[in-house]
Amino acid sequence: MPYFDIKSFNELRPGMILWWVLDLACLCEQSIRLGGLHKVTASMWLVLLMHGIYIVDALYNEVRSISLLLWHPPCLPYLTSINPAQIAFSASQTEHHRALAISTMVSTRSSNRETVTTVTATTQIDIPLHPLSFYVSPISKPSSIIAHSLKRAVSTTTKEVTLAQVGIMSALIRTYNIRNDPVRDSLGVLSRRNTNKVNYKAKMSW
Amino acid sequence: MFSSSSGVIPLTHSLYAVAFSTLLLTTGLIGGLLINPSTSSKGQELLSWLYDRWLGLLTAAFVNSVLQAVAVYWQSFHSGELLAKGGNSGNFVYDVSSFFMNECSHGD
Repeated sequence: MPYFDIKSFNELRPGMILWWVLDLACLCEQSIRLGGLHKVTASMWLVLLMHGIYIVDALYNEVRSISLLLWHPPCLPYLTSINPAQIAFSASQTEHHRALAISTMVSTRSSNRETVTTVTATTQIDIPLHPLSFYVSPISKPSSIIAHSLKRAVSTTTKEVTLAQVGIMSALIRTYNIRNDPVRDSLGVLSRRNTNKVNYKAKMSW
Repeated sequence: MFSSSSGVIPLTHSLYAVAFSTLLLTTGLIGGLLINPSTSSKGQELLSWLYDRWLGLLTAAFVNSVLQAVAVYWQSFHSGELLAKGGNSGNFVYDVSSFFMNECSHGD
């Protein structure tokens, strides 16, 4: 009998594959609500793409990547499919044009002090708060970013406030990590050159 | 259960490599169901069943995971079991919850 590891099994079969199936289920739900697969919003396709990349990577490199994953109860697919579920729940057709919210984390360092902030650069600045991107204005102080995000989040629904809090927490954690990581100094030097003119669209990098 | 003399379980691809093909098969079946115009609407309704019962499925999965954690913990007291590094502390709470939070039990 081959060696059977119940944790690996939970990770891959009900974990990764059911996650993908749940994503597709959210796609179908949005398709039903909006009336046809051709009306599915771009944010939904983006979530499917990103999740798909992660899932294919995890399954293709199974044994090597499996120890990188830190937590995987069978609940994992349900929790990670919150994003597409929220999009399917809240998407309207007018959002379709504004939803190209490819957000990326740009860490920058202000020129006069050693504050490292995490900034999400978005392709459009008037994007409503939704799971793919939390709104961040071009301000270098983390406290201002948090205040701004909260101010914006308060005016939205409760579900979106929760998601904004998750975004703020991840930004704080990333700020802490970057500040305490000497390897990241090169990143700070790179971005310090560009801090005179604040143009986060131009500084978007993957 | 085979273990080498050094105590390390040989991880072969005999069992694991199937998961990627399973993903491809699943994607192909669902994609074919959705792309085909004659079955598309029916397939969408079929799949949105998962969306509608998300909370119930989550609850069932949580109960299932707790039961599995207890079962695996009980099984770990049997003789001859290889225990993971992170799940072998002797503390009850830590060892049971290692099913959820630690790395996979096949160790390094």
